[in-house]
Amino acid sequence: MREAPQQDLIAIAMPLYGHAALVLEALESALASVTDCRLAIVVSVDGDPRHEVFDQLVFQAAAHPEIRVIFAENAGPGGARNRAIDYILEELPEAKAVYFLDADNRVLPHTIETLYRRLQTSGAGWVYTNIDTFSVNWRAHYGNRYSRLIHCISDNICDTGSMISIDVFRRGVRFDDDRQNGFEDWEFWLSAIEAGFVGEPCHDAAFEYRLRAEGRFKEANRERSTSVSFLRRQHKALFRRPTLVGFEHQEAPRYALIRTGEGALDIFTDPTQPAGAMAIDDAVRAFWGSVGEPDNFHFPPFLAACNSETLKLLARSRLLPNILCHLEKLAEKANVVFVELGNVESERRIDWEVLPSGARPGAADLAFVSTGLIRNVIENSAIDWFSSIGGEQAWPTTARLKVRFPFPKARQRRSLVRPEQALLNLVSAIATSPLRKTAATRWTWRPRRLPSLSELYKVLRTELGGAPVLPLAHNAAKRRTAAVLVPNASFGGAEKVAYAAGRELKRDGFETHLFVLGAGRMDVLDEFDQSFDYVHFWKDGIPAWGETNHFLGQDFITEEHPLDWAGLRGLLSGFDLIVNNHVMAAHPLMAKFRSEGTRTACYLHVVDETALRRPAGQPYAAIAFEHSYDAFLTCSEQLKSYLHSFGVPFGKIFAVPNGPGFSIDAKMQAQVTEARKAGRAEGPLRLLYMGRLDRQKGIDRLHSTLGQLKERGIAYEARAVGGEILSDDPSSSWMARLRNIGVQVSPPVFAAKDIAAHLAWADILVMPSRWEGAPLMIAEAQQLGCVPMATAVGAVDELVIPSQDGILIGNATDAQIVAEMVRAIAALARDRAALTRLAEGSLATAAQRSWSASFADFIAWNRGVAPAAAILSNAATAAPERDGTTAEAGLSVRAVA
Amino acid sequence: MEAILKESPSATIHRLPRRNRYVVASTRDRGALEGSPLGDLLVFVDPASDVSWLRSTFPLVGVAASEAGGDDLRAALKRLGKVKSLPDIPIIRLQDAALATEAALVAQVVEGGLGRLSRHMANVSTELAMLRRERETLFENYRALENAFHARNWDTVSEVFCHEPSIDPKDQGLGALLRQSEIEQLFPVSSYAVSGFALHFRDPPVGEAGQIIVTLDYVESGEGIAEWLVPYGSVTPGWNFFSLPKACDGSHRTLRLKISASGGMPPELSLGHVIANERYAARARVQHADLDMRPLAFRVFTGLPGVRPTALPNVFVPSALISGRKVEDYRLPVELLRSVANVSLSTIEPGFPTVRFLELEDAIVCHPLSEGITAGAVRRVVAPGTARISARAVIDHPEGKPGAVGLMLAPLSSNIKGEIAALAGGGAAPSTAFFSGWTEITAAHPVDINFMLETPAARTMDLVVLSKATSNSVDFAWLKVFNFRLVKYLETRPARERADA
Repeated sequence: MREAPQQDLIAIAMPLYGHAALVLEALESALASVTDCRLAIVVSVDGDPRHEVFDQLVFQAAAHPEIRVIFAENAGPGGARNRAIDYILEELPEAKAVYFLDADNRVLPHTIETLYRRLQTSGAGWVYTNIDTFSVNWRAHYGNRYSRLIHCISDNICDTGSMISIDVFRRGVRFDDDRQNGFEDWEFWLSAIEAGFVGEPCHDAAFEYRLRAEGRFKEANRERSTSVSFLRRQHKALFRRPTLVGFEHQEAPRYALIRTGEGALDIFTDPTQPAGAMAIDDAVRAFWGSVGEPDNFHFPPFLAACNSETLKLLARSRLLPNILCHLEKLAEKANVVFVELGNVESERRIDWEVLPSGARPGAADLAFVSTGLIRNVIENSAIDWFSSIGGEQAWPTTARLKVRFPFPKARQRRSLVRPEQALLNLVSAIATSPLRKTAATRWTWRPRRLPSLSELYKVLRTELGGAPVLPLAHNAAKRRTAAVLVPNASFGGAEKVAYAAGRELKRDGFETHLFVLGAGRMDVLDEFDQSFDYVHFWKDGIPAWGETNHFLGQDFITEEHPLDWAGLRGLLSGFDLIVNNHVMAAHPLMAKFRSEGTRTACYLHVVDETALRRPAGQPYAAIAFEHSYDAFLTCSEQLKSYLHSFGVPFGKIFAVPNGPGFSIDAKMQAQVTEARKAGRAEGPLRLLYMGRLDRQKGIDRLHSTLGQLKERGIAYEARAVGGEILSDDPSSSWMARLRNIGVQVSPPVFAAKDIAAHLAWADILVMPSRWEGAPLMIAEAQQLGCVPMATAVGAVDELVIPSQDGILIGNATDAQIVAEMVRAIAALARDRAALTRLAEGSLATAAQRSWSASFADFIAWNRGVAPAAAILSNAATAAPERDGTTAEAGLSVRAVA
Repeated sequence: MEAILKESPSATIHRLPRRNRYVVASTRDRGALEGSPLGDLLVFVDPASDVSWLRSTFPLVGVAASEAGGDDLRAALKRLGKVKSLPDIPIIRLQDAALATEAALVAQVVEGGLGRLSRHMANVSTELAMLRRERETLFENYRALENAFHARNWDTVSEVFCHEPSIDPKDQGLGALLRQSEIEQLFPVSSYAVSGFALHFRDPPVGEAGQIIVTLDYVESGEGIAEWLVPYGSVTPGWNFFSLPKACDGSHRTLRLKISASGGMPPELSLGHVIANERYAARARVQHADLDMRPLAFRVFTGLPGVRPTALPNVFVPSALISGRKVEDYRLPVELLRSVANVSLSTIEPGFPTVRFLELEDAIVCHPLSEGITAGAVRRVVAPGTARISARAVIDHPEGKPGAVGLMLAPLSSNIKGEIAALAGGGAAPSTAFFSGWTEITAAHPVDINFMLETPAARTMDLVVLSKATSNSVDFAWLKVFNFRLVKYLETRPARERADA
């Protein structure tokens, strides 16, 4: 016979209050345990005033040396359990695990042994059982697999009557002894999850839970909403989107993707993380399992098909998480969604349309469908109807999602299998499986208490108050995440500041996301194209402006406003930092995000004016929500003071002087500097106007100025570069009127090299605007030694030092401004040396200006942002850490291999 | 009193665990009391301390060696009042002159009285816990009975679950597996009120003898419920009903069926359709292709125990009620059988080995001799708790002469040859050994040896295979014994080491 090894010690911890008459049953059941382990029973008497307890325990402890008793003053169930834990750690340091047995419950003879063996083999933090009650009969089955996601957002699925590894307590996990918390057991498990532990179910053991008509369990549930709020507050990190999506990715992945031509499915939620693999056979089993036992089997709620090349392309587009959100949304509007990709160099764009039954949607690059529809198709024997998606005419309704973006230069390999066909093949395999015959029977006899695993994405939506939920977990590099919100993404100054902010944040280590909210496209700017790791569009249901109430007579939006709040919450929840750049609809959400742990900042660019010159615009809509923001960014000191005058503390405002919207390389810089220093002694003065041909920009003033210069015989060449909104009367077109006086009018240019070419050509940039913030164009002109001549509106005077690096025109009547501009241009036409000095001054100013310097304070402030901690997993049960920082690194890994 | 005090307490009373403290004193009296006979029972409390808990301390009495110590102790106990659970504690003032004597007296009163009472209370508590559990079951059953009475719901049984048989032409069949191992099947319904179940068999064997062995137990508690030993010949093609002596009561639990066979090729046990939930698929320790995601074909019934569902042709009642014991089926591994030793008792010394292990057949050859008993002993293979042993025997030669075969379990300490000699002399096996009795065997008919011990083996034992002649000739009597199956009953009683041991 082998020598028995040193037996492991298991401690049974038993808090005791109010169960003087029942504790003997609990003790007897524990003493009757059949196990190879040594047992110690630690009774923690929680100030129970009944001396019967003392009388009971004095005899029990005397008769059974394994019984240890702590008498202490009342501290609540959590406090009593903590005392037992501390005792075990101090007095029984060799204990391997702790089993909590309430004094009114009983444990079955083999339970300790079975649970402890499972704890050893599973490597889990704790092993729990189903619940079977006695006295009042009730049973609960808590699933065949442990899920942190369910445990966090659904209900407490583990009774304290569990076998808990001593490591959990050595890591410092304890019960919360706040008596306001009715769910101290649930709270304990959440702490254990936060500490990186996971549970493991064991259906082969049970304990006897005494359920009476009234008890603490019922009491706690009466106060459920208060207690649940308490849990959310206590464990903010657990309830943030990246954490929960991370759990979802590992435990109940939202998407199954069939790679056409390959024999398995990728299952994932976060496309940037390594996907799980599911063989077709397993998929069929999971599908039918989820029909009969939805709490035990998970089949992803959305099914997609595409080839590996498409997947690589999508991953590189930086749009994939956003596309998945669109697909989820469209799957609610149409039976099947087809994605069509297009290669466009100059923009990124997402559009969609829903086609009726019987339409001819054409070939797709990716097909997407909800599992619910597949289930209906099979249940209703509608395979033929569904199969039409593989033909020319589709009888299910279809949605077409058109995604345009610049493709990488690498050649794409064509797929020989259509995604629709791959989808049909899987559906056919499921429908004809022999499991269909038995799927209706639930074999697990204990009643289901968990939500359907395949519906967990809906529970997650409810938890976060958003739909769809952005499918991104914590990035493996532990980078902080920043979302920059813009209402449109074109070439405007405010957008460029947003892009520059993104670039600086990215340089400082943030994972950056650009959210274009209210529009479905963005122009590609070479200068800032790499500023963002991800780009997201959400167009529908997000108005650029709204008026549910007034603040100081200014419009602002409240949550009563009918817009896609769910969409916004689902997309924006869970970032470490949000910089809202003029998205009015996002203001009402900031308080919630802030309370969840997001640091919120608001960038303001300009105070607008109405036609009647009432100050208006984004600053007022934002100031109304001052409480919701941790910081404000302005483009100027002037706007900073203005915000202060409305009650925003200086300490909360960062003035970020604008830099140029593009940079020029060293060679061009040298050429420009040399040319400007040399000056142009001969030839007419070159005047440049760049911008919208509209009233705000002072196009009428420009027209008058040029007219008067002509009348005075001052030689000049003029260019106007920009577009205008055409009215019905062609004679009112500024383009036509400018051309009539000899101005060369060109359409707007956006590429850095084109803008630079115009500025390098011109001597003076004329900016007769009625109002401005702090226009980037001034910095861009100075960068190329083009002298800015601008009206002193907004914060223009912070960018131009008169007679040094530009010319400021005092803000006065139109006639006075025109006269002053004519006078200044005439003076420079005469004195070319002065023009050269100003050009050199511009170059010198530009040399000292940079976005990095402008954002330095804001970036430093953000260094205080701690990344939302990713929850570790037990080494034995954890999925491998994912190292992808972009979608490409995640899903494409296997495609490349 | 002096005489009493001089007597060693361990000789007369149950000693209390030394970790627990029952007497409190003030820290002021530590010097006076620490070395006294109360030393191990004492805990000193500090009146100035803010400690609000006691660990392994049950203050039954306070002692003071000085007036000041008494006052301090009263103050300390007052502070401990916030623990609430402690009773009023009398304080005894020990006199300086007789401190050692009085302390010893207190120690003996506390330790002796409490020790004796605690042992008594422990027994009472165990009994009380058991009675309470029984009362719960009685109440629940009483109510169920009353409900049935009011509803006049007496008749019949109800089928609560059915999984129909499904025959796959690719199936290999479970016969060999049943003989080699056992198949487990969990019931997908709660145990509560289950009164029987039915299994589906087909292809009853022709010319094969043996027993189907079926046990039913609870998964969560490991408690056995009943066991059925069904001769192959009793099995009918189609559904066969297994009746429980009483419907399952008490808590709702998961029922587990274990099926194995002893003997020749058994009737084919039918499997059902594939299911998704692997936990409820039939399982065996040995991998078998047919079991992949398939449960057995079976039906579960509730209702009056012993009543056969009318559509079913037969009913098997349990051969044994296991009533709460855990049942474990185990086979003898080849490496143990290989060590079989010849312990025959015969004057004849043949020129061939009469006892040996057959590698390819995992069988023990035990060739009878015309005189005496041929015996092969396999040492230390019968585990404590073993209650039943079965094996199959065959004379593996068409012209083999008949003989008799038997099994014996012998204690490790016994003289095996002596016990064989007792058998040879026609006497019964000694009380320390178990003997199956002789079973006659011919070349034409293999036999199954089954014997149940009156009480499960208390400790590890040796297994002895025995054979002897039943006629004048033992020519070609190549008797082989194989397919050893042993069943162990485990009582659910504490069998562990104490934490402080």
